[in-house]
Amino acid sequence: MRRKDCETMRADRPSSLKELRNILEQRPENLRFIAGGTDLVLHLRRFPNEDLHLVDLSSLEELRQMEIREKALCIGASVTFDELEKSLLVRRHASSLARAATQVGSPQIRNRGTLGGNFMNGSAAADGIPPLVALEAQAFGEDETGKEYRFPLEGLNRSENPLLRNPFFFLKGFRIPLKEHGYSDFAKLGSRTGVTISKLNLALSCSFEDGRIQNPRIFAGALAPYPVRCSRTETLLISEKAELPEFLQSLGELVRHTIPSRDSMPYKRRAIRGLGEDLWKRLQEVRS
Amino acid sequence: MGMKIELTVNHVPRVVEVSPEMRLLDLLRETLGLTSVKEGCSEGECGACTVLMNGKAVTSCTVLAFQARGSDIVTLEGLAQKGELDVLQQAFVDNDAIQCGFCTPGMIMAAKALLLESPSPSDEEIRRGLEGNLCRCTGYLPIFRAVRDAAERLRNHAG
Amino acid sequence: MKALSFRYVGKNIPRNDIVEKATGKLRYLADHPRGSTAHGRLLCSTVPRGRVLEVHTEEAAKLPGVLRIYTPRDDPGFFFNSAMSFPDQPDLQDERIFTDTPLFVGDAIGAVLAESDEIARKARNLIRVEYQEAEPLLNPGKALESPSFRPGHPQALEGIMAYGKEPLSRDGTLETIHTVTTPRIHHAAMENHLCRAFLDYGDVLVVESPCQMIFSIRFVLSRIFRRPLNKIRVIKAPLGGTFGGKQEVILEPACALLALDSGRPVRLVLDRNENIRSTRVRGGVTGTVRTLANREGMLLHREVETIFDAGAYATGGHRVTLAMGKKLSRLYRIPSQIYRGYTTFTNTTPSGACRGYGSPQIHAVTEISLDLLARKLKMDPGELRIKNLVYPGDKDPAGGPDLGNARIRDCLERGMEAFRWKERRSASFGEERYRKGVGLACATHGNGYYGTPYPDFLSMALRICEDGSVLVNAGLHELGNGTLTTVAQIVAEVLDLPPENIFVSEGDTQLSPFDAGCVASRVTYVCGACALELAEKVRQRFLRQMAEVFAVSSEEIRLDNGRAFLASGKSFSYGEAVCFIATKLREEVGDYLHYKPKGNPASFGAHFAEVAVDTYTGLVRVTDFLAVHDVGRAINPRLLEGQIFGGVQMGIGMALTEELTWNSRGMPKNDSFSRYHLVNSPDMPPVRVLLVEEEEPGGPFGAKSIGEICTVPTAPAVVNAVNAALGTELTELPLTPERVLAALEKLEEREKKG
Repeated sequence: MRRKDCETMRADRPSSLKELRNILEQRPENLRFIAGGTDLVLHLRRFPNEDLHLVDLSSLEELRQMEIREKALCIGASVTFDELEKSLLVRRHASSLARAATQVGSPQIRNRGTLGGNFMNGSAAADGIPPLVALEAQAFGEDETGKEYRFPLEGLNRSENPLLRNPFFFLKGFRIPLKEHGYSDFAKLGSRTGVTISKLNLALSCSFEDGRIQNPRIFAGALAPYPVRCSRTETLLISEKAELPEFLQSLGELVRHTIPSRDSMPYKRRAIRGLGEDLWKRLQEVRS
Repeated sequence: MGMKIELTVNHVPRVVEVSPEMRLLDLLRETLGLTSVKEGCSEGECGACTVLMNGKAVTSCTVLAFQARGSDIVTLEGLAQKGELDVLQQAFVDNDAIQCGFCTPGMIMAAKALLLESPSPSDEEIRRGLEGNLCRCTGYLPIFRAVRDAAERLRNHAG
Repeated sequence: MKALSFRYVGKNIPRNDIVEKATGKLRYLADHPRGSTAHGRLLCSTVPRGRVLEVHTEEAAKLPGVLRIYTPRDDPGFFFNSAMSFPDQPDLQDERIFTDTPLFVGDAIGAVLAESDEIARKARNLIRVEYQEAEPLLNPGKALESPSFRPGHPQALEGIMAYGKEPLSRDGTLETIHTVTTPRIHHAAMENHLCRAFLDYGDVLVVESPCQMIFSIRFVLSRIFRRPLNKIRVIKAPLGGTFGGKQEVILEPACALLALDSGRPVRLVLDRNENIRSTRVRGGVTGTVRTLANREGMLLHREVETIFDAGAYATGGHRVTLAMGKKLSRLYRIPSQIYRGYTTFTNTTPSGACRGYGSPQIHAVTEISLDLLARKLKMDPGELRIKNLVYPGDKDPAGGPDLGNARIRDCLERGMEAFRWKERRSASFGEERYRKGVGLACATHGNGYYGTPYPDFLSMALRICEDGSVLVNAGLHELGNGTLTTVAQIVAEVLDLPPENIFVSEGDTQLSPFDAGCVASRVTYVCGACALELAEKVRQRFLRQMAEVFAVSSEEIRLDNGRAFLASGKSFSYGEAVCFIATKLREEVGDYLHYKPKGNPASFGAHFAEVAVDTYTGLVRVTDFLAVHDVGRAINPRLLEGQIFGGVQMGIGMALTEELTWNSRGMPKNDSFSRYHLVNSPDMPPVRVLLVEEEEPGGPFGAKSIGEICTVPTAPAVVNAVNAALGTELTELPLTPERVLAALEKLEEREKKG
């Protein structure tokens, strides 16, 4: 981006949605939202001549709420991973999300990184997304005209979604429908114990009825641009006849099927068994 | 284009002029002369620039200065009270948890944030609390010792 | 000198600067106020090999605050070698300050000088460079055979070490051949490279640098800029870690050029990713070992061939190849050996000094292979080593300096016991998902440059001031390793004065006596011994002077904790005595000493690792670790232990997670901490340290080195543990999860067939 003589960097830090809407009404040029900030600050460092109009979403209290509303757990877009990790509501109704939050980056990153930012950055390895997808979450937000939007996360095609390509669209939060006797879990594979990008992750959500698993949803993240549904593995879970080896085998098959020619396929095909076993074991413990 | 922001730094209210792209790191080091805050990687991975922002550890190289408006920032310079070392600082000294010293300010601030939240951290919690701070000299072990030591001293003081 | 009750030696005296560091008061070079300093940023090549055709600076020059933009045309045209310290050294001189034929991504082709760092970076981003690109040479094996990309310089250098004769008969012998590869490593000191330079009073070029060899910097600068050595002042700045990365003369020439050209004080800095790309790396080695042993486990003959990837420039690359060869004859009693080391060049970041200087690599190669030999012999790896390790007093059959009081056998035996080696080894580690295993490795390293082509000597001055405080003036370099504290402790012991009363200076080429540098593990053994001898000299002088002043015999004077006690019962503080001497004798209480070591004994270490491998994910965790080191005497046990902890962290990284890689177009793939993983706090195992202190003659109070050797046996110990846990023969470091799973898969297939 070339620097024009009349342009300079600008920054706004709205403290209310009303203020934010006022700014967006002006449709400022080169608008960039910033929340946790890591990605944008790196971008600024790499391209120091860009003139952007930064709008900080991290200061909006209205986007930092976590509450139950209309039989759903609503999480504001500016809620940090640290807050997710510690929230009793999230741990109770979306424990896979809380678990994923504990494994994002380092304490410093968790204190600033937001779920909304995680989603909007669109990284295939984003840890917050597979749990949301497994929990049948919807995202909701607003554009510069004030119009509200709501859309499911499952099957979301970013490149074709006009909302996500609109620079004035801002995410307000996520709605996770509550389930009776719901259970969810998450497992992440990185290159080390802590502070690592996901090479692979698995998110599971289901409910129990009379000790039987109902409606299992299993999604593998970091494998493809969006979380991949492990339908065969879900079927095995419901059938109640499957044992661990078949469960793990189906996960390996999913990897082979999804990224057949990727260099990392032989590794991920085997390694996913580790995640699968962790989820299986914890599931069995809960059932007993 | 400058913006005036108000914030508290090391318990003192300040009014400073910042540019939009200025990082909190630059504000602290250049504008306020708080050079204990070190720049090690410029991308939030090494933790050398860690400061407390409203009681929580953040890497000041990934926070823009204007985002800190209204915040309460504490750097290593803000720990010592009336010329006496903070318990954590003293514990680092007593346990030789410092070699080249470059990671130290960020490490102490991360440890401070940890102890503020968990006054009696387990070994696992200490490791986790410091996982965002890299050290190439000490192998972390004397640092864990120092944090355990400081936690105990604080408990004895309190109880 | 037997261990009487030492007052300061052997005590955990706090580091001299620890409070300054704990309070943030210590100012590193980047922390000084800016004043009129101008800011420089290097313009580096984005192509791995080619020619700079044109540098378009018009847009950048328009930016307010830009002072000057430098391109290859501004290079003085002098070729140097950043690892050289004396004119007679034979290293190839192929480096320039700004090159028009970049040889790696990150090679400096110019610079921007501006009023602020921000403006310098902005201007730099507006510069457009046109390159004519050429195909980069990236594979060291291929590079050996390829034509050189540095005209007039060979593409391969060879070093040979050999002694003895291979036995002709193969009766009752066993032969193994293994190839081990070690990765290229980023030093990862937390402080990035930077430099400051300005012209001072007397037309002296002043260069402040966090460095390890002030006199080398002075030497290189004097050649490039044709300045007399006494008009270049290099000052050692407080340093935030180096591990060899700041040993060579990297930023100083460019910084000096900018300062001389602009007339302004100049600060030149690098960000982390520039640091990873543009400075130095630990060179990667491919080593093939052929070992001949008898069935009882006695090593009969060994042949080692190494290919060292020195990156794009010569620097000290070939020195590392030669250093590797030298270690082979100093750990085990092997009747004959041949070493062939090849240094070759690729279009990647140059390989420079890095902690251990080849020892970590060559020991990884030989110690991993030795374990696999033990497996073939169905012998305990510890037992195999005990049969072959050197003994105290052994000579070096390759002609190197005598080994000295070599206590590696003590290290191994005590370590095996303390680690419960036999018990852990025989415990069933199962077929389940998580498998545990233990491994060990032995290593040797040196104590300075004696016996090598490089000069090892220094001088020191020491005086007692009028208040009894002491000044030690030497060209020392504190790296965070405890140089200054160690020297202070030694002097304190001799002069009978608390170490806090002793100030030990750091190097300043205008003011300090010469010292070869804080390198080659020479500080304790050589500089420490110099300090000891000088302190004794001053002590004798002091006693003589006091005897004269107080009209007593010097034998009657007793020194104790800063006071001199006469037989009559009278006592004086050192300060009072110094004042009397000044008044009555008109003499200073101080002296100067020239020192050179008379030997270069070996330091030794044995590391023991326990690992747990997740055979599903391939992740390896080190769950327990023991480091046993032959240190002669621990001047400061806690500082020493700290060095070991850090060395172990580095070695585990080399074994499991650290590897710099370049893609097929010569672009660095992981020039950031998000993709280059050091061991962080969750993954650091508990480490126990045992010290063998049997005194090394020639060392101060019997002490010898630890700084480098502490990271030498680590990686092979960890790899051996993994191979033991899994039954694999992993030899490609680091053992990433991918490599571990691939090896397990191969093993499973073999087991299915066989």
